[in-house]
Amino acid sequence: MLKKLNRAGLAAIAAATALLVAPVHAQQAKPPIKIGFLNLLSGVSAELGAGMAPGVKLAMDEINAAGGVNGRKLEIVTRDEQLKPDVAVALARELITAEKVDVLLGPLGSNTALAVSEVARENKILNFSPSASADAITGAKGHKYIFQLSSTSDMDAKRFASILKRQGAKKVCFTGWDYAYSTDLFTNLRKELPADIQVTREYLLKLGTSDYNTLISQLMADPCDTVMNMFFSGGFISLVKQAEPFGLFKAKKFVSGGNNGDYNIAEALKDKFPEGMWTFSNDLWYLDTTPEMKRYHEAMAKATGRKDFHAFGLYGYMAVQFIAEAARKAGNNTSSDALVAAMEGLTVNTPMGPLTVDAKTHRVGKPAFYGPIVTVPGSDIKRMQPAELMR
Amino acid sequence: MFSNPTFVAMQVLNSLSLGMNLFIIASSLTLIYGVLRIINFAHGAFYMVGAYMLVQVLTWMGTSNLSFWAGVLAGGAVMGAVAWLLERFFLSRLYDKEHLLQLLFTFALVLMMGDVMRMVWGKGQLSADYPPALSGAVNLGFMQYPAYLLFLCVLGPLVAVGLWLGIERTRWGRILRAARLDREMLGALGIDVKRVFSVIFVIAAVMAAIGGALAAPRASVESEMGALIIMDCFIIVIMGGLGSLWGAFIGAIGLGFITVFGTLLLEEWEIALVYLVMIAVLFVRPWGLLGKPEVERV
Repeated sequence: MLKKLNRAGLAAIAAATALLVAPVHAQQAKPPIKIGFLNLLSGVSAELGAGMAPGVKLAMDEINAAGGVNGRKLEIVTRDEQLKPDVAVALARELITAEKVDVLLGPLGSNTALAVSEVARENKILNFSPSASADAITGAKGHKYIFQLSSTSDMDAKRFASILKRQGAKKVCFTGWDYAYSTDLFTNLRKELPADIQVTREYLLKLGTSDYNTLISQLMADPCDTVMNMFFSGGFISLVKQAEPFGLFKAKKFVSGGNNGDYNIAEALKDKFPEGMWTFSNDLWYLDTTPEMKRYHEAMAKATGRKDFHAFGLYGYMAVQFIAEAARKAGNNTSSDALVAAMEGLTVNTPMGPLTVDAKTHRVGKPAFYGPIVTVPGSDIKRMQPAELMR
Repeated sequence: MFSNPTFVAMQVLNSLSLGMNLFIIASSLTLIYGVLRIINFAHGAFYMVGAYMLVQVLTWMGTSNLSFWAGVLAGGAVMGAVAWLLERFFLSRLYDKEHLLQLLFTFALVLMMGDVMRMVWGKGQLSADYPPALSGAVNLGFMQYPAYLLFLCVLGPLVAVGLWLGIERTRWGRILRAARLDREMLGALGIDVKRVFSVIFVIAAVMAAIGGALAAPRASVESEMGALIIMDCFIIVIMGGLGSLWGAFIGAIGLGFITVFGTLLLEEWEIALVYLVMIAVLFVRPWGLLGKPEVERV
């Protein structure tokens, strides 16, 4: 038999083998870009994580449907940070070493964001913080690999100072829980307020206090004409329900931080929401300011099954936009250092218009909608009208 | 601050409404001790059950007068059923044992029930709407004050008088007083003492739950509220005298005033003031203001 295998036969076998082997090499696809998403899915503020997740998913789906980034698909691996720094750190390490993610997204909480930022610094991996607003994240504790989308309390303080001035406030008192989120803003606000606006007193309650009756009396007795409030979410709702029959909102003007302009707060309070209170929201589903915003609202309404979806979706959507654009700009090399270099100074066309990452501070300083919450015809839930986008 | 009479009046009413809210719960705690001789740590947890039940009913049925009172009653009913089971299968075995075992059992209940609340409703703060009929303010001439809080100020004394009449003037009251004095003799007279104890325990638990439900709109609901309220209740019954109804009434009003004015003057040091006052009272009257020394029947 072997005598019959002449040269032609050997050549044919070689050619056939080559034909079989070649396609295997050609079909090897480009690996996905993996984003490790530390979302907040349990505990007191779980609604924020539930609100952000669809925004993240929408951006990923849209980018992948358009072919991905340089031919590579985006892949998101989600974990629950639980607002606990030690849990978030352990999960971040797992995402880096076991899941081998290219980028870390989140966590949402300021305390967990600071903790995970250290892990990112240690492991030299890009960490994009979508919603945490603590100054220290890109300030005192900042480093090469950390980027912050949300505005920080020094920026917020400038915005509120201008609002208080416009409202003709003469004496302002501060109130909120006794922790960094409130106290940072108050410290910065004292610096930003003009000399003719006097701060009378700060009323801080222990974090988690639910009985506001004494505070309500103190606020009513205070000589201030305006109260700068930092109670948010469930705490703000409790305060309003307890304070309303005391006539607190008739006696004092209120200006509120803490995303109290978000639709779900107005929905929870209905007609009890203090009429005309100035506050801010990250996104208003009922207001389309740009064509991109309109497109985003329509796509999210379809994805979530409701028109009045949560404002936090926008943080997630924009964050993925920034990460994808940085990867696109970095080209073939998506090492952390290349991504960092691409992210610095990067401008992205977001639903709020073009926004840029400051190359030096690593901050985007996302604008938000500021305005009074008022009763509008045709709805039993109050809305912000007029709404002003403040940078 | 205190030169403003409207402000002072508001604080007095705040103290009274807080005190009366506390009394409704503390009265049932002192009732349990008076008859069953059990220090019921779980009373705070019972209070919490009532509050969470109201929040849940309001979530299901929306805000209305009907849903509010249905929620309050539901809180009482659920707690009553749970208390009956607890008493029948667990607590009844501990009546003649040392106090330590009772404390351990009721304390374990507090921990477990707190965890159940957290598992079902989460760790955040939940608020309850006032019932529409009591949601406005009453114009007192020189100021306005929430109608619901005035309602609490009125309800407290009504509960006190109602309980007093029940204990002094009815047959059940006589049985209760007899059980307090000498349960063995009561048994010898043909009364089912076990059943008396069950009934007292369940009634007291229901009162605690209703007290919790009524407290929910005033101070919101969160999973630590059971632990916080039990400290206040114990201070009240110790200052007032264990087992004394009117002692609890005076103690509750006192604690209401100390808490409100103490917080205004001393902020976070208010809690020290509370304990100082309690120590001072016990110094002068070791059995509490209206308490009597325990008589051991051999």
